[in-house]
Amino acid sequence: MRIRSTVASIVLMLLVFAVPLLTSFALGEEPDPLRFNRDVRPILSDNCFGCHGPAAKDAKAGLQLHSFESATALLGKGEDRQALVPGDRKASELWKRITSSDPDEKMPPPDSNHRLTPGQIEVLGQWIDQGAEYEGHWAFQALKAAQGASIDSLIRARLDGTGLRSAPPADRATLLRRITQDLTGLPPTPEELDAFLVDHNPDAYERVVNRLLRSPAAAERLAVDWLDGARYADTNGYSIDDHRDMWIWRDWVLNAFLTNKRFDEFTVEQIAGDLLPGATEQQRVATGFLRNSMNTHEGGTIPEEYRVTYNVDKVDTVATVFMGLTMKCAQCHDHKYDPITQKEFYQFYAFFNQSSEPGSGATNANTGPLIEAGSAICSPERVKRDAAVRIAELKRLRAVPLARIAVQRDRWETEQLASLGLLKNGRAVAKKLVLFPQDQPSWIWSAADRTAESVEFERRFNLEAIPAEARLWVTCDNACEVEINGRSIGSSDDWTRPKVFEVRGLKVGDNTIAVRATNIGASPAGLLLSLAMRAANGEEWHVVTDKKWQARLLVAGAAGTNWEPAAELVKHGGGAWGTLYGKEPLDAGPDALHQALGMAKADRTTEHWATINTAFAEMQPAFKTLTNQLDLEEKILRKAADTGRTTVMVMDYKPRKTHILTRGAYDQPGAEVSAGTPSTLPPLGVAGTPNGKRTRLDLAHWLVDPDHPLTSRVIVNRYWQMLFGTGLVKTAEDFGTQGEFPSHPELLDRLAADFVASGWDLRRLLHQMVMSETYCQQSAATPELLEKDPYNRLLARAPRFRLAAEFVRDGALAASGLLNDDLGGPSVHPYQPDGLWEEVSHYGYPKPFSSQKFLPGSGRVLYRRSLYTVWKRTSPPPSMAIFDAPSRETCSVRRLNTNTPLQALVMQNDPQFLEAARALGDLMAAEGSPQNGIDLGAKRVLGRAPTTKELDVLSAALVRYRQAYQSQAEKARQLLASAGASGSGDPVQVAWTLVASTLLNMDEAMTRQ
Amino acid sequence: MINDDTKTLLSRRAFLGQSGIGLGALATTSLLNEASAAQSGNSELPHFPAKAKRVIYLFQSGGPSHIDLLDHSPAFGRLHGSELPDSVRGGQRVTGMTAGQKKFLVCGPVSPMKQRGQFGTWMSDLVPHTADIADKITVINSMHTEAINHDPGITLINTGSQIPGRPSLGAWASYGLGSANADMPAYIVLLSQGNGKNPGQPIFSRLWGSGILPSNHQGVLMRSGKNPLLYLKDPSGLNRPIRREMLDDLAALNEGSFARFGDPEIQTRIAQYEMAFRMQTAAPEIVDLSDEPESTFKLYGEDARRPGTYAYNCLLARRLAERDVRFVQLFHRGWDQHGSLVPHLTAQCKDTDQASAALVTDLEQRGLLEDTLVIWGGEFGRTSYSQGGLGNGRDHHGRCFSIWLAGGGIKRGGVHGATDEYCYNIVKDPVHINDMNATILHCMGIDHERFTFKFQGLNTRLTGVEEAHAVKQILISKKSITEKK
Repeated sequence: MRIRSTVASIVLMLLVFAVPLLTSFALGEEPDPLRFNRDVRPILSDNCFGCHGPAAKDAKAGLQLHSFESATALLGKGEDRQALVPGDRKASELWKRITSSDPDEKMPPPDSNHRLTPGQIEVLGQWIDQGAEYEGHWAFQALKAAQGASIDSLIRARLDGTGLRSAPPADRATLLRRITQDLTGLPPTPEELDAFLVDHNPDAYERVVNRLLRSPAAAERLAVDWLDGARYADTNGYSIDDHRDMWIWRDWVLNAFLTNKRFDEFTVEQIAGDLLPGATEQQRVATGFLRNSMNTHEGGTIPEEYRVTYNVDKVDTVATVFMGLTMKCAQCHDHKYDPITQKEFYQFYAFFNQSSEPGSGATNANTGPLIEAGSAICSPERVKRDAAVRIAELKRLRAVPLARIAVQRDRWETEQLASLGLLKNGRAVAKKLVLFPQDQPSWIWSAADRTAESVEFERRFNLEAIPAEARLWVTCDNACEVEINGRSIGSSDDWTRPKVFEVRGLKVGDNTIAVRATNIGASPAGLLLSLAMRAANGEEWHVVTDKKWQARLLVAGAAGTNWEPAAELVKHGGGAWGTLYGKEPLDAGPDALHQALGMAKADRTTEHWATINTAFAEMQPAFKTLTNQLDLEEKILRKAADTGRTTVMVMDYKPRKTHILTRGAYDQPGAEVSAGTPSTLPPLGVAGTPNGKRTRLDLAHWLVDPDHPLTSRVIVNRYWQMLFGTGLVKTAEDFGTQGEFPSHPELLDRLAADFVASGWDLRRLLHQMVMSETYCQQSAATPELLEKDPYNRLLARAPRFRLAAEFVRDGALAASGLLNDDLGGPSVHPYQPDGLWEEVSHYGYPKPFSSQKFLPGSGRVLYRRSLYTVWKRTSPPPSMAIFDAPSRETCSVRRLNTNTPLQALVMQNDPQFLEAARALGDLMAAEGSPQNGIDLGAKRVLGRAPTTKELDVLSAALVRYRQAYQSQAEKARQLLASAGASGSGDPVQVAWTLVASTLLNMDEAMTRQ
Repeated sequence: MINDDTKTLLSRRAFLGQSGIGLGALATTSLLNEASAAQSGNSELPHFPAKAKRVIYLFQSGGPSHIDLLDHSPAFGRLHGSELPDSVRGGQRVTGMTAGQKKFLVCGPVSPMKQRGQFGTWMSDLVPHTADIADKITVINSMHTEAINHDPGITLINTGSQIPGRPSLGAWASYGLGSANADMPAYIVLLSQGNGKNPGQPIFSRLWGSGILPSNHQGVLMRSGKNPLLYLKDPSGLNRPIRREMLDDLAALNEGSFARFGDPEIQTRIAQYEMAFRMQTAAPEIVDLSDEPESTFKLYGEDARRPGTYAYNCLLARRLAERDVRFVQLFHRGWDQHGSLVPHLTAQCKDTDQASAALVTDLEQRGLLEDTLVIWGGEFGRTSYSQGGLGNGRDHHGRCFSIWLAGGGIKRGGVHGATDEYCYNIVKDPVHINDMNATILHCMGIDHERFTFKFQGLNTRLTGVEEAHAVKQILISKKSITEKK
């Protein structure tokens, strides 16, 4: 009550009222008779079984309360007391203990964490009085299918007496969006909406359902949940977390959903496809399900320790995904709550232990056993194309590296340009650098006297047009003056590097270049010159010093001797530009680097970039690291690029002995066991291998045996969870005694039985669920509903819940028209903040590992559906992790659903969502009027026409934003650039972008309702 | 029988009532939805008055050498270069890296150890600044772990289990105690890389992940640069008044949805957008060091000016503590000295020593140390025998290692636990990782045994299923607090 006084929130007040309602599912005025599984077992299991449960070894004082026999036995030799005396609570030791006020007597012990409420104590008392009947745990009992009962009749039967009734049907627009979101993870298109709204045929909805169920988008949607359970990822996990290729298996899953593969076959192939007679390539691929376990090759790893760990992970995954059992609890000791002994755990483990999988994983690759295979849904050509696209992305990253390195490289470029003297006011004089002396000139001098002090040179040449640009490089040992057509160009007295001159005064027809060169004393002299010219059409000509020049000696005070051809001085100074000045990179004027650097960035070709980056890498370790990484990633892709196929990890069969591991420790083997299943469950049939040993194939058939009480219930429950937000058994991962009792046990059994009887037809199952009136009702919550059933377990309204991470993003891509609906294929690299992988990874390690740095993709791959986003386990896609996506390190079959400020930041500022807003804004703007635009936006995002209020708010915003950016062209340009658009910064485009962003940020936009 | 969901709600409500934030900020934090996911066994928190209102965990990733830094044995002078006796190794599980080694030559500390402060705590010359605060901290030389490799080791110490999937310590703190700052998440993570071994062993998001807890409790990476939290920064060209207008419009639209659907989650969504808006101001203020005087950089070192360094992160940790962020964790890589022991360890200490000590001093000067718990330590220690030739390097060692703690209810000065003359096996007061985590929770007012989350039928707790105990001997006793007052 102290608590109540601190609270003033309506929400919380409702919860206080909700308490008595939730104390059991008996919501009626007259309570149901007690049922052991529903009312009593949870109390015993939660509070008593930890010490007095099925784990015989742990039973305190020898008392076990999990069965009638043990609970009614005499409490030890010479005792006449019994824990339970059926029909007589006062005579029962249990009753005395739970009602005792003596701390030494009281149960549960006061120093434990357990405390029974008065209500729980009374339930136990009544149960003893009613005869203390036990039931076997419900989930281990055979299905009890109510004949003829429908989903709606069973839901309504539960509502009877609660004062609640099913809600009226949802309006058609809401229903269309709901069914489309639920089955495909995408919103309906405006066209689909318009068509549905005018289709008044009685079967209009059912036709929509059938269309959606058969769509590739539905296969993608269904795959997402399966990938969580199968802990699918694109990296190996653990510390190094380098890449692996399991997308071939993922495509197998997509294909299975696309073809509505019988769920029993779907199960058998994933557990034991390799052991099927005449197993096909794709059946072997299916066993990748088991190989999705993480693996490690961290230095110092003790392989056997990890081999055991991988197999325990397989047990955990199979037990959780197919049976809702927490078997891994029995790895070290008998299960505390469920009837699974440690021996049974290792019998189950033995199925997976029979393989050649090693403990130490491969580096940068798949670990054996593996096969080479193709995709079930993508042609080799498509795979080749995807690999080629990725390789092109990597090449592009070499050309235009990510921000931080790009900054370093730009700085380096500037330094290089500065050292060349081609930087003016901090800017590259890039235009002037376009021309380079490409030809190799020769050093020349007078043939008559190679040590003469003064020589005059001349060269005539003919031009058909006046060049747009002309530049001259010259140096001389020791000095020279240059004239063109009689006009002085300039002089040089630096014989260590060329001097560069802009050349003017050229004309059509004959031109003359003349040089007066001076030597000092008798040492060898020489002139080196290159004149480069370029026409407006890009054609280039060069005039260089060579034998075609005329030379004559100049005698002091008099005209010289006769003109004669100049002599080439082959060895003078070591050669021409490159070799003479090669030691200083930029003095190597004619080389490719120099030329590439002079190009404007936009004009550079791949070769230019390669030249620059190679030179840069030599001097920049950070860039070298990047190029090493790029080389490695590219090398890995080569196989797929060449063949359209890749390897995939699969299971094989290799007999191996299995021992119970004492306390679960890999190095403490105990008794040997053979493969088997828990005795609580139906017996294992043995098709067996030729030698009669039980294999995974027997296990697989056992899982889908119609008499198996768990598999069908567990699977059906998860699809109910997918469509209704919460399973009929809320603890979808735990159907054991600590799991929750089903809200509608008859319904669960009815659906499970039908699922099996129909031939494990998933589409039929989903069809049934979504055709129910329960599914189609309104989701609005009234105060009465919130008060009586805040968690909506009774389904007197349709559930309303936020979309899963993938579909928040996919929905925005679809609404904005950006979505790329390519199906299957290798994973892709859409937007992600720079640096996240490097911060945690081995990036920069001398022998590079793959997947250590996120290398973003570009173009169409940015808009692929989210299930194709590359998944690194130690650093999962951040925008999806913020929306509760798991890390995929281990199996997970139920995502939590949070509502946080970080989600708000993603929706507002993630480039992906900004770009979607801009693209959607463009579509809205194209409608011509604000009203039409907003109407379209609402239809695309919310699947309905806007309300009057929405129209008012957004129209007003549109005007405001346009005005705000009218005089802020630069800000407008920046904003649009952030949203992936180039251009001058049209304020109208900005306004539509912001209005679209507002729509995409609405709670409804990310919610199915 | 009280439904689990209801219990969570009640305890959350209790928290909201006590935290002083008021309902405006947090009451609408996804109560229904989150609670429906979060079946919790925890009762009202804190269980008892907390000594530490906040925690700063300076995690030294890679396994710092206890022998070279904090654990002293006078016998090394005599043992250096000798073969480690089998009786000391005692059939220990060694990693694959030295399992094949023929000789196990004992290597004493690479730099002199001296006694520091009035407690005479042994510390190496490699950490002179830490030596200066010796009387403010408690050193534990008897830490131990089962793990012998990085991945399981670092996962165990941060999540209480070697197997991935469990919530991190900080996530537990966030889950249990919530945020004390309405504008910032409860659990902030800062990453850095030292010069000792670059790149250091990888780390993983699971180390600050929420595991089975709702994902809003996962550590939030705070990064250097203009975008200190992921997606924090509005796009360029979008100024604050425009963002404000947009949020007002958005709230109006969402109110319309609420009127139609009555779903409390919509109200929560509106509140979360408001918190995001406040975070956009609060977070950049934290990383804006322009208000720090020169004396700050004298204290922490010049590195503290450089975003992304350990020293910078230590300074951010203080700024976060000032703003009552509940749990701040630094992950600093590069302590894995299998080789190049002397140069790499020296470099690693140079990067970390001054700033670690500065943080303690700074917190004290600001009156924050008393209720801020600072922990310095890694996932295991290193072998006193050499990996490779004598003095080359050291392999992983889980049987004993050293950490230090300060503030937040921890005794000032002194050493807890002791190892043998080889610094190899614990001879007194062993402290398992789970004991340490129990101690940290204890300082935060939480009884680790009663702090659980129901998952797959089990009341899961940070400290695992085996027995664990808070190390009471290192805590300031009630009596000494009274005396102080």
